Formats: sequence, structure tokens, C-alpha cells
Amino acid sequence: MSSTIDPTPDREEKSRQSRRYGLFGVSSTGGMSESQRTSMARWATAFVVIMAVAFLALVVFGSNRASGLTVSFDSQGGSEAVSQSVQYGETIGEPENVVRVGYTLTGWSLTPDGEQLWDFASDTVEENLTLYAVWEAQ
Amino acid sequence: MNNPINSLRQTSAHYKTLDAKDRRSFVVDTLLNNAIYIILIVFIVFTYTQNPKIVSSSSIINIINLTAASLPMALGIGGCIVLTGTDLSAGRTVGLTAAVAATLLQSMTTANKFFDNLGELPIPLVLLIALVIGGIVGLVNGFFVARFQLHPFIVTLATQLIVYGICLLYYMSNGNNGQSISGLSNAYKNCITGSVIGSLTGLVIPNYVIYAVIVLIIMWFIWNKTTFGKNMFAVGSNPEAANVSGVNVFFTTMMVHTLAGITYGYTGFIEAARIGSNTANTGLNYECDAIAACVIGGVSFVGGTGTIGGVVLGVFLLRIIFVGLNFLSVSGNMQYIIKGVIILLACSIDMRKYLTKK
Repeated sequence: MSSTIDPTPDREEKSRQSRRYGLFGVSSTGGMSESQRTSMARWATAFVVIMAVAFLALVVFGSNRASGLTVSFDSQGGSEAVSQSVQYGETIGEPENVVRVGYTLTGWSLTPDGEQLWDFASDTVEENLTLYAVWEAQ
Repeated sequence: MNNPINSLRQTSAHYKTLDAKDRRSFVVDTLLNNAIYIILIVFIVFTYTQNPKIVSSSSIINIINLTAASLPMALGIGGCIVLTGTDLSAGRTVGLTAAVAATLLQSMTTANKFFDNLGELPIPLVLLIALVIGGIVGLVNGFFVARFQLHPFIVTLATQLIVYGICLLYYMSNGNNGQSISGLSNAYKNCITGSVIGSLTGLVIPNYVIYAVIVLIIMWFIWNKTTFGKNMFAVGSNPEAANVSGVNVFFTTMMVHTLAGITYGYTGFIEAARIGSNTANTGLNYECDAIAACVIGGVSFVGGTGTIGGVVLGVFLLRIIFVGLNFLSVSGNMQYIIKGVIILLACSIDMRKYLTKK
């Protein structure tokens, strides 16, 4: 064992580095030269502008007022029900002629287990959703 | 808290002392640092022109309710981010505690009751159980992060999987076979989603908004008025310096994660009643929204910075954007992309602030 080689500081240095996670490998204690810092700041500025523009562009082109929100129906074994398009905050009409042999339709629910029944007269659509048929055996 | 009028006055005084070139860079800096608020205003104006209902009282109440539902969790994760970490186990922990809370508080008349012979449990007891379960998950996270100095990303990834597995087993147990758990007792539902404010004033604001405000006050107190809170920021900005100054880094790290776990337990308890019908997918991806909200609210991944007010603002802004996207009928697929872009925007602003700081 040589007395000149002392592994302790090395290990400490390593643990110090691994302790800092930070973003893009930058940490509040990490060393960075002034020019590196300026160039990275310039990149960050560019990204702020790009992302802000991208966000607004996506919102404007993604907005879909013409077709509105979609309510689809899962008849859970019954005959097919056509999905409906509505605007936010509107009510929907109950799908017609949905039948299943040996069962009676008791209503439509937000969950497949029929727990939260949808009230077609008063419930309004606030997002794209699927309604599930609730059947009762005859 | 700073007086906003005073700080505005100081800013304008500072602005007058600058020369032309500095003034220009000052304006650019201010615009870029507040880019998120600026695009938010543009966003709301655009949404309003497309669908004026976004400023109706029902939509505003909806936004407040959604904010209250996800706020406690974001406050918990905020602590982890202050320590330059993160927490991926949050969503699944919410799922597990929601499952436990729901099964313990099913109505006596429910047909497929999870615990057949269980009587009516007092609601505070179930809340306590949920908090303890969340706290234990947080404690495990905190222990591994603090003791072995592992990156929280990998530790919480592991606990996320473990917790999800436990949650799935729980749903399979007692002959439940993975079915959703519903039929909650009315007392429980009224306690969370009933509206005391509604019966007094007519504004249908559910009770969990009040509880969220209480949690907010408690968290504000912990962050700003306790030694533990100050230590958290010290460890976040520089653990070595904190250690040298006599801060117990191990204890602080562990407690921050435990506190975060407790907020997940609380969120699970609320979500169970709010959703009404719980499956193993309850809480899926909740942590993503919470982390995004923290970053938008200025809790920096560089560590050691962040305020409770910022987190509240972040959660609120994110909710406005999500609700607004639905008003605009943006398709669900597109919404994911937009979410991602907002997070990148927030990160870029965060990095820029850090890099240009003199």
C-alpha cells in the first residue's frame, strides 16, 4: 500500500458529481465556461421562441370547431350506435334503435359497469367520450 | 410574499437607470421569461373568439375544480423537483390508495362488495390509512435516494412498477377478479364531492376544493415557515454546502419524498370518490401532469428554486390549457403533442433563466 495514493478524495469527487442531476447535465454547482454558457443561452432563447410558435400553431391548426367533440357509443353486445359530434357544453340525443336479443336497454353509462348513467336531458359534453349501453336481461 | 405594486415600482425605477442597449435586452428578457403567460393570454383570447363559453362561470368553476383535484399532488412532486429529483411513482400510488379507500368505504348495500363483512368505517380512519400507504411508498423512495444517492428517476421507476403490481393484485384479490370498484357509501361521496359552498351560496364548488385549500396552506407553511422547508431548499441548491452547514441531508431528502408520498395518498383518497368507479388505471400518468405543472410554475430542475405560488399557477395554467383545448375541440391525439410542446417550452424558459443569470 502506497501512502501517496489516497482513494478518498477521488471517491468524494465522484459522489459529488453523481449527486447532481440537473437538466441537460447542467447543475448549479457544475462548471461551465462563459462562452459555453452564452452559446447555450442562445440555444435556449431560440427554443423558447420555437416552442411558443409551435404551441400557438398547433392550437390554431388543431382546433376543430367544424367537427366538434365526438361522443361514441359502445353498445356492449347490442346493435351498432352511430357516434355523434357536438360542440363543447351541448347535450346529445339518445341513439335510436339500439337493441339486443333477450335484453332491455336501461340507459347509457360513462363506465362499462353501468355505474354513472348519462342523463341525455341535462348532461353536457365537455370532452371526447364513450358511452356504454347498460342492459338488463329480460 | 412581495407586494406586487412595490416590485413593479422597483422594476420601473431600475428600467429608468438603464441605457438604450440594456433597455432593449431588458425588454427581450422580460418577454422571454414570461413567454408562457404571454402565449396563455393569446391562447385564451383565441379560444374566446372560437367559443365564448370558456369565460362562462360554469367553465371557470370547472377549471377551479380540476385544479383543486391535481394541486396537492403537484405540491408533493414540487418538493422532489426542488431536490433536483422527480417522482414517477406518484400516479400509481394514487391508484393504489384510491383502490384501498374505495374498497374500505363501499356502501353496505353494494352487490359485489369487496370486503363482504366490513361495517361502516369512519371516513377519517380511511383517510389516515391512505396517507400512511402513500407515506410508506414515499419513505421507500426517499430511503433509497438518500441512503444510496441513487437518481430518484430510477428509484421511483422501480417503486412505480412495484406499486402497480400490488395494485393489480389487490384488484384481483377477494374474488374481485380485476373488476372496477364502485358503489361507494353516500357519506363518503358527500364528504368529497358534496358542496357545502353550494348549499350556502348556490355556486356548486365541491368540498374537495376546500380541502385542497387547506392542504395548500399546510404545504405553504411547511415550505416557507419551517426549518425542514428551508433545509429542503438548501439541499436542493447545493447538498455539500447544506451538509457542511449542519443540515441533515439524509433526513431532509427522505422526508421530502415521504411528504410527497403523503400527498399522493391524499389525492388517492379524493380521486376514489371523485371518479366514483375505480379501476387499476386510476391515477395513470397523473405524475406527468404534476411534473409538467411544476416546471411551468417555475420549479426548476436545476434545483433549489420554486415557490408554492408558482406550483399553484402552474397547475392552474395547465388546466386552463387542457380545458381550452376541449373548447376548441382539439383531438385527443393532438392534445398529447401540445402538452409535450408546453413542457419543452417551460424547460427552455427555465434553462434560459438559469444560463443568463449573472
